[in-house]
Amino acid sequence: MPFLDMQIIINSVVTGSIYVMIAVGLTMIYRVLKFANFSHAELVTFGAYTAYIINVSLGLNLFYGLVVAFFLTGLLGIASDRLVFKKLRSKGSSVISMMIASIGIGLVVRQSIQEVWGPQIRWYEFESKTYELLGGSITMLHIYIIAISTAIIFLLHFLFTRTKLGKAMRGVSDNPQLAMASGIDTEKILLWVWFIGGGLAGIGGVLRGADTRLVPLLGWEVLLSAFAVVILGGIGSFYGAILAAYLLGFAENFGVVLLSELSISTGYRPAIAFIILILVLLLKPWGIMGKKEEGS
Amino acid sequence: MIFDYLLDTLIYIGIYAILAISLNLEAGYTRLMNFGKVAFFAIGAYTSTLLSIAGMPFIVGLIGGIILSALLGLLIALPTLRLRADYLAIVTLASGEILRLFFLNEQWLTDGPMGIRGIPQPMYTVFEDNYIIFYALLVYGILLICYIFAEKLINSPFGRTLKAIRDDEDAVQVFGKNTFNLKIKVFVISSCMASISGTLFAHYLAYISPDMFFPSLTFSVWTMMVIGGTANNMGVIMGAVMIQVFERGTRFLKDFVSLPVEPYNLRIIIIGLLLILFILYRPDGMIKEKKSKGRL
Repeated sequence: MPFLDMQIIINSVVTGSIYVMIAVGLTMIYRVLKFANFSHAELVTFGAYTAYIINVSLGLNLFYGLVVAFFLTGLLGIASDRLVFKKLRSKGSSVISMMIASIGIGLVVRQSIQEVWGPQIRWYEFESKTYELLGGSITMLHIYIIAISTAIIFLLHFLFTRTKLGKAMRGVSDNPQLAMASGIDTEKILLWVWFIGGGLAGIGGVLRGADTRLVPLLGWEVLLSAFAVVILGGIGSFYGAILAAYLLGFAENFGVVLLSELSISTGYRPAIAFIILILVLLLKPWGIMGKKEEGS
Repeated sequence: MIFDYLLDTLIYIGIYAILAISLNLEAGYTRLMNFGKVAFFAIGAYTSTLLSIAGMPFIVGLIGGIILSALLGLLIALPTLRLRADYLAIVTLASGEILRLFFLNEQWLTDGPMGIRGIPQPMYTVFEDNYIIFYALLVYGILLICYIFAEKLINSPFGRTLKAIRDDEDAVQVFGKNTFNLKIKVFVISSCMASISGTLFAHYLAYISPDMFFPSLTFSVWTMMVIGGTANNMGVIMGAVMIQVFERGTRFLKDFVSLPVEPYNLRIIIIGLLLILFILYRPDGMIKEKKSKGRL
């Protein structure tokens, strides 16, 4: 195949690395609290702009921005839970109410960001050399994105398999009632889920912002892809999300080339995630590595 | 001038009230999470616009939009309505965005981002001087028909079954009802009604472009339903009045006073806050659902 070249593979790995960061929190919350959190998109955007303050407004290295974005976005995740979702849980509100509330949170955060920074496009400040790699080109930024994402994936693997906290997190998401019965403080674990999941969304936002540009719609633009990753991977499945993120990254980068070969506008790129989402729902609604639930 | 402004606001209220009633049918009475309401509104707008520009009468455009909306509704409903409620939310949200991309990219058909100007207005030559009065009557005539239709529908055995599906789907299935078929029917009916509203919108403005059909339109209608009173048609009309008076009001205000914040941002932030606050503290909205009379 003429267009299956090294460049597509490099781009796919970069896209996939970013999607993993965004999807981990989304899939964990989806599994534990049983609702699609639409405000996850704005956690991504919030992270990107937090790093912008550090990197451009304060003139520091983008790495510091990445770290600050992780912490602050994690705290925003916790805040959204404390201020809204926890209250809804204690009232026994339905999943539907939570989704509507998440839309509300998203609107407030996104438009506040637009109010502060305006709708215009912004960029981080950093230098990035380009290297040749097996007939494709890769930038220093791409190498960083892949390295950071891979390192975090290994850290999370370690967290989920070796630490008490990580095992409790998995326990809570697998079976909240059982976890509570075995003495796990579910609400405390949930705080960690929001913090880590939110923080990673923030990192995803910084990586995405560095790879493309910053706009108030940054997170909203990747939300559909993130949901496609979560559902393809199986809701709640960490390893499924990793696999699905790279698969979707490949599908999008390959698909864009295919679109232009077929002389269709590449403006349809978001439709690729949509088509994959629909196919998964039709063929394997519980995803590649998810658990088949009752009723689905 | 004030008179024209009032009529203009009234027309907007009427158009959005139709959209809110249609959302109420599927989301309020049946709990179908349509987060892509704007798609059906846009289909109504674009179909009738293109048909009228091609020289067809208004009524043909109106019906054309209804037919296409019904088809799109079926296309979305068939793969998703069997699955979990939240999948419908994700798929409909995505459909709205993909459709907007279609209107944006297919320039041969829609003039892309430029939009379409000079959309013929029905019976313009007859009412030339008092056209806005005629149009207000047209909108309110159609609103009245939609309201009566929705009330009849939900008080019919069909409507009572819908509410029963919302409250306990398994129980309805035990009685041998095919809930999947019923959900498809109400989704398609609501989609057709949304299309009518879109048609009225396009021919009133006489100009449409893809940037009128952002997802925020969907959530504005959701806000009307949530604050007005979910599953109460009079309530959602009240919601449409409040949100439209507020939206038109802030636009109007902009010309006279300078606000410290961008009115558009402020509007979206307030809509988001209203959604959150009502879901948290007044989930039934201003007017509660009426207890249904009669038996299933």
